[in-house]
Amino acid sequence: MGSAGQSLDEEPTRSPADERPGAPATAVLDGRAGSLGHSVLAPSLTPRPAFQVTRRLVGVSKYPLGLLTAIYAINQSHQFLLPVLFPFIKQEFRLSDTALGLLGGSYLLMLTVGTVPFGILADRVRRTKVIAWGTSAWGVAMIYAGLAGSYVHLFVARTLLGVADPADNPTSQSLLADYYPVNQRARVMGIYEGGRLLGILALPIAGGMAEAWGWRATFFFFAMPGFVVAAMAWRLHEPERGIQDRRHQNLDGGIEESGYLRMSSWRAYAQVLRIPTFSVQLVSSGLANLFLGGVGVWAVTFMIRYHDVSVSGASVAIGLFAVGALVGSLSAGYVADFLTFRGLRASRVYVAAGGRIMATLLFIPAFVTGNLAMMLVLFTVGAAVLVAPAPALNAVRADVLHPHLRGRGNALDAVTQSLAAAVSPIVFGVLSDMVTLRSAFLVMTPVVGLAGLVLLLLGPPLYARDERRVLRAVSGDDDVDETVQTVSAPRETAAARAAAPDARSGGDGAGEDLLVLRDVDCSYGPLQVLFDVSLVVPRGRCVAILGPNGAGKTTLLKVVSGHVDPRAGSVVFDGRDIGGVPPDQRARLGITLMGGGRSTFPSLSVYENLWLGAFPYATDAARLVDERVDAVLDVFSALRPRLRQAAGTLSGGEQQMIALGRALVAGSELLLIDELSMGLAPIVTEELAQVVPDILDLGTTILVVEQSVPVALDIADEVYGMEKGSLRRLGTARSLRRKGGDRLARSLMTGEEEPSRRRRPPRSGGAGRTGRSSGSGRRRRRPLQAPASPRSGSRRGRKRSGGRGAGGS
Amino acid sequence: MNRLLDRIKNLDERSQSTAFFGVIVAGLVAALALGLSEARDRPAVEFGEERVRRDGLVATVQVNARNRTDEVVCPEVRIAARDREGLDLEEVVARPQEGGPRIGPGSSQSYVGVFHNLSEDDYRERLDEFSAYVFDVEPCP
Repeated sequence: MGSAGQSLDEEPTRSPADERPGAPATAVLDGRAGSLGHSVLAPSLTPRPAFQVTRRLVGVSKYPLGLLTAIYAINQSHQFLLPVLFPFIKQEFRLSDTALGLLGGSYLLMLTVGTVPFGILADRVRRTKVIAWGTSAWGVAMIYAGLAGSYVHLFVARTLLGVADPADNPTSQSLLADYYPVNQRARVMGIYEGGRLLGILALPIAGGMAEAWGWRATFFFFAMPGFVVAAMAWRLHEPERGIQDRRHQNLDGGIEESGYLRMSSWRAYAQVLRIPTFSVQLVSSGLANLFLGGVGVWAVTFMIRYHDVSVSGASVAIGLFAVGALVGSLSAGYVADFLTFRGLRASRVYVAAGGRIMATLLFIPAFVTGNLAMMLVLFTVGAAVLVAPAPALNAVRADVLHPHLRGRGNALDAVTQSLAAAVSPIVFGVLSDMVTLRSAFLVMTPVVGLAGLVLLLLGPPLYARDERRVLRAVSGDDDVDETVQTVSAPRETAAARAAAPDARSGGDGAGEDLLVLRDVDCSYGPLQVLFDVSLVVPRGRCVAILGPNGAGKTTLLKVVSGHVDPRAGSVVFDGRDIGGVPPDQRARLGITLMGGGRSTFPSLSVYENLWLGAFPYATDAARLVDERVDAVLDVFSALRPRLRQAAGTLSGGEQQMIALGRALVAGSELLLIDELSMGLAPIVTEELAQVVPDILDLGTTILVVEQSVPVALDIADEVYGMEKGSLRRLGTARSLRRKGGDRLARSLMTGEEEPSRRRRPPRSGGAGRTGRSSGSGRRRRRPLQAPASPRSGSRRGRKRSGGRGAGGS
Repeated sequence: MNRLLDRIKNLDERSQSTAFFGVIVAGLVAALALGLSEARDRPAVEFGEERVRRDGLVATVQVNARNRTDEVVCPEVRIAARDREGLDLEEVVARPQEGGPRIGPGSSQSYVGVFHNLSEDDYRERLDEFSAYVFDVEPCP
C-alpha cells in the first residue's frame, strides 16, 4: 500500500458498532479526512494505453469466421483448378472437348440437386458436422479424381465434388449468422464471401503443380488442406440457432423448437419462398447473375475484341477485377453495418440495391468507351460494386429468415444463382451472334440495374416487416400481430431535441459534448424499453435522469456502458461511435458504471475492490494504483481502517463509498451512477452527494439516474425525466429548484408519490442541504484539468463551512 | 427424410468421431502418399519451350523433346493450340525435324508441327498457348 495510512499487515481496527452491517453512516462519514482535489485521480492524469477499439461482443472469436472462409476458399478452388488441368487430362484420356464440357455440366447438375437436401440438413442437424463431413467428402472426391483411371471415374469424381460443395456454403452462412452479432452480419458475410475470390489463388498454384508433378499429384495435394480444415470444423463449437437474434434483443439462449422443425422439409422450403423479402432478393440475385455469369466468361473476349489486348494481358486484367471484387466484398459489409449502427434499419437492402444500380452506371460507359485505361478503371470499380450486394444480401437473408429456415433459404439462393450464372454465357453468346458482343454487353447490363431497382423499390418496406417478424418469433412472441409497429416518438423530434442548443450544457454553451445518444431503441425480447432516446451530456457536467421504477433508466446506463446492445440508434462517446464496442473496452475508454445497490465484490477486501478500479489501465503500475487508492482513502478515510475487511461486511453507505472510490481509482471520464441513493438512509445519501461536485472538479462527467428528486436536483446541472422509455428534458436543476424544486419535477414525472423516506421538508429557496449547493453559487466551474493543489478546491471550503461537521482532520 | 435425420442424430458422438477422424487420417495419409508417389513419377519424355513462327494464318511450332529414360523411345508427339479454358483450337501431329522418331537415352530430338486451320479470330481472341505432349510411345522400328 505504500503511502496508505495503515499498512495492510496491520490488523484493522473496528469499533463494535461498526461490526454491524448497515452501521450508522454518520459515524463513518464523519471520519472524512481529505478532499478529492488530488490531481492523481483526475481522468486527464489517468494513463490510458492506446488500444484498438473493436466492435465485437466479448467472447466472440474470429476463429470460426477464419476457418469457414478458408473452407469456402478451398471448396471453391477446384472450380479454378479443373480448367488448368483440362489439357493434361485431355491428353491422358484423349478426350474430346464435349467430354470435358460434360465434366463441368455434371458438377453444375449435382450442385443444383445436392444443394436442396443439404439446405435441409443445415436446418436440422449439427451444422459444424455437416460442413466437416462435406469437406472431408470433398477431399475424398479429390483423391478419387486423382486416381481416376478412365473418363467415367473422372466424371463420377467431379459429380461427387458437386455434391460435397453445397454442404459448405448454405450451412456456413447459417452458422455465421449465429456466431456473430446481428449488427455485424454484413461485414462478417463480406469476409466470408472473400473466400470465394481467394479460391482463385488455386489457379497459378495448380498450374505450377501440374507442370512439375502432373495433374494427378495436383488433385492429391489439393485434397490435403481439405482434410485438415474438415478436422478443424469438426471441433468447432456449434452455436444455438437464433442465439444472436435473441442476444440482439438482450435475451439469453437460442431457439430449441419451432413450427418449422415439425413441418415437412419441402413445406418448409415453400414457407421460405413465401417470405416477401426473400423472394424479392431471390429475383434480384437471379437477374444479377444473369449478367454476372456471362461477364465472367466473355470479359476477356470483349477486351481482346474491342481494345486489342493480348490474351495474357486480358487475363491480367481479370485478376485486377478480382482484386476490385475482393475490396468491394469486404467494404460493402462494413458500409452496410456502419449505416445500420447509424439507425438506417434497411441499410443492407439499400447497399445491395445501390451496388447493383451503381454497377450498371459504371459498366455502360465501360463497355462504350474505346479508351482501354478508362474501361479498366470503370470495370474494376464496377466489379467492386457489383459484388457488394453479396454480403449485404447474405445478411438480409439471415435477418428475414427464421433461424430454422436459414439453411434452406441459403440453399435456394445458391441454386438460383448457379442456374442463372450457367444460363448467362449462353444468352451472351446468342446475342453476340445476333448483333455484336458489345451490344450483348450493353443489352445485358441494364438487367443488373433492374435487379437493383427491384430491391430498392420493394425491399426496404418488406425487409422492415420481415425482420421484425423474425425478431418477434425468436423472442417467443410469435402471436404478436405483425402489422403492429412499435410505438415511438417521431424521430425528427427526438433528434431535434438532441441537437437543440438548450439541451446542451444548460444553454450556456460551455464545453463540448462528451456523450451523445441519438434515437436509441432498446428491447428485452418483445418488450421495448427505450424509445428513440436522444441525450447530450456535456463534458464536465452532471446530468441526472429522473424516473420511476421500470422507466428504463438503468437500461439507458447499460446501453452507454455496453452491457446492453441497442436495437437502433447510436452512442457517441468523445466523438467516437462506440456502438458494438464491448463493455471492457468502454471501461478502458473511460466509461465507468457504478451499479445500483451495493455495487461491490462482497467477498473481496476493501483494498481489492478499490484496486479493481485500476483494471482499465494498470497491470504493471502498482505504484500508480496504490497512489490513487491512497488518494481515495484520503477522501473516504472511514475505509482506511477496513482495508483488509471483506467489502460485503460493510454498511450500505460504506459499500457505496467503495463503489465511488473504485470509479475514482479508474479515473473515469464518464461516471454512470445508477441510483446513488438506493437503499441508503437520506443522511448517508446526503453525505455521498457531497462528493459529487469534487468528482466533477476533477474533470469527470457524470450521468446519474435517480428516483429521488431532491438528490437529483442537488447534484445535477441538468435534469431529464424518463417515463415508459421516453426521455424528455425537464430543465436545469437551478431553474427547477427556482420553479418549485422537487415538487415541480415530480409533477412532470408520473405523479407517483415519492417514498416516505425521501419525503423531506422543502428547503428554503430550494437550496440544498448544505450551503454549498444553494442557487447558482453551488457550482463554480473550473478548467477540466485537475487543480494543481490537491486541497485548493473552492467547493471543499464551502462544504466544510456548511456541512454537517465534516471537519475531520 | 425426417426418419433418416433422426437416425443420424441418434448415432452416438463417439461412433461419429471415430468414423470421421478415421476418414480424415486415411484421407490425409492417402493424399500425401499418392501425391509424393505421383510427383516422383516423372514422364519419360520432357519438352522444352515451344517456339512459334507465324506466317499469315499458318503457325509453325517447334519443340525440343528429351528422353529421360535409359532406353531408346519412339514417341508420337502432338502439339495442341489451346484457348484459355484449356480446350483445343487445333491439334497436329508433330514430325521429327531431323532423322527418325528414335530418341536415345538422355538425348533430345526436335519436333515441328504446322497449324493451318486457325482463324484470325482464333489468333486474336482465343489462342492462349501451344502445348506439346506425348500422345503415345510406339515400339521403335
